[in-house]
Amino acid sequence: MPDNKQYKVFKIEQGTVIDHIPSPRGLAVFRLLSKNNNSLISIGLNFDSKTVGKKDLIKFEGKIISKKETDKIALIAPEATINIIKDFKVIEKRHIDIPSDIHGIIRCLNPNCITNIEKIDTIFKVVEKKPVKVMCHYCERTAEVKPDMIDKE
Amino acid sequence: MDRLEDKKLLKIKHLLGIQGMCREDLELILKTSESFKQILDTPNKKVAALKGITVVNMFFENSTRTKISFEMAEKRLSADVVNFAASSSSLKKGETLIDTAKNIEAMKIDMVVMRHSTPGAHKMLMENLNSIIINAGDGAHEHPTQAILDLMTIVEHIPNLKGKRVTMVGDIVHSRVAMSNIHALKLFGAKVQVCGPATLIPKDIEKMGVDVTYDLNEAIQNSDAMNILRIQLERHVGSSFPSLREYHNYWGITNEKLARAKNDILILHPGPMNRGVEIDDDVADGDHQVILDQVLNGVASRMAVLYLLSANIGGEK
Repeated sequence: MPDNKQYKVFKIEQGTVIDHIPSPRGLAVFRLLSKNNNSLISIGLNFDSKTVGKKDLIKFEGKIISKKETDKIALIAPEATINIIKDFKVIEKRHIDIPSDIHGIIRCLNPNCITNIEKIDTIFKVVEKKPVKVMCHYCERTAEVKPDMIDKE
Repeated sequence: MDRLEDKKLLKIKHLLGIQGMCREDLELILKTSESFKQILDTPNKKVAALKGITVVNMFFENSTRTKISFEMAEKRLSADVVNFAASSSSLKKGETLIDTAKNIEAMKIDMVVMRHSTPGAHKMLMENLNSIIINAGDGAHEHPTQAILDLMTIVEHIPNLKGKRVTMVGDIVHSRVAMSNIHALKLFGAKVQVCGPATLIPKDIEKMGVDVTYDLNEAIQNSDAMNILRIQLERHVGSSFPSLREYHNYWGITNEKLARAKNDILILHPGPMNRGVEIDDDVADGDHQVILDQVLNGVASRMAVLYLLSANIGGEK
């Protein structure tokens, strides 16, 4: 049963809560995960946070996010926390780890890179974690990860 | 020369770039290049080191020196040489590079020398083919054999590069030669400097451990060798300087400017040269230039690369 505590964003019965997204990156995370997603989504922006100053949060009703989606979040909001909810209770807390190698997910910013010309998956090596910087395995160009580099499929 | 079966092995299996190579590999290539250069000075310039080996030259960008140099090196080593003309290939009919390369490899080839406008194309081929891949230039990324021949030419005159200053002048931002040279020279302890208009110097190049100056006269005074680079107009988007005349006034190497240089300064140019733009006739044909030495060393060093890498034919990737 739901408790009677008042929430600024609705509690969800089942699904995923992504919390502690440093503002203003909440909408970028939302855009990343919202494609082909028909579940009810609640978004809260600019909450006060002891850990990240101002934070955003997103709640997906009825959707459990995948490992691939967790990796995507790691690239733009590694500080975020992910809670999986069932019967209004947190049944799993996921830590976000930035992977050392990223296969697919992001595209190379170098328009001349072979990955933007031939049909091959991108591979990146993470060279810095704050902010996340990656080096393309193929053209060896290094870039800070921006939301528009991330594959939204 | 060592016999083929006795040859020392490089740590690399393919030559994709200088970045990531170790000094020992470069030293072995240079040493082997010297041996091949001696052979090139004999009446019979041919050895049977690659007899029975098939090398395909795939050039997707224009090339004169590099293409002829590789073909010459392959023929001097007695390899069977096939030249692939991209302009008349199935790539023009929509075939992917991987499919084209796999089809060629199915004809039992052993090594691929490729120039391509796309950085990473060589690494993709390496991951999809069993042949040995040699990078003959990929976009503005790397041109490893040019760096090796430049290094060989400099070391012939300056055997110990530690602490010596080598300056790359000109269009650094679009130059694969500059990138490969920087990696190679730093492995040998040289102080590397780049000089040119701010619009042609890559942002953050200092992070590669390179000094930057925009003052050509200062660069000339403190350099032991200078590698003069062509303006890569074919890679420019928009205008990076007002005019070729202005470029020449500020960045062109002239005998008058060279009067401030050390007496034994070396002038290199990877070609093709634009006389009257980045280099004057007097300098291009003068006492300090080693430009034709670079061309000869190109054949010798490419023979060395082909010869040493051929040890990996049929081996693991």
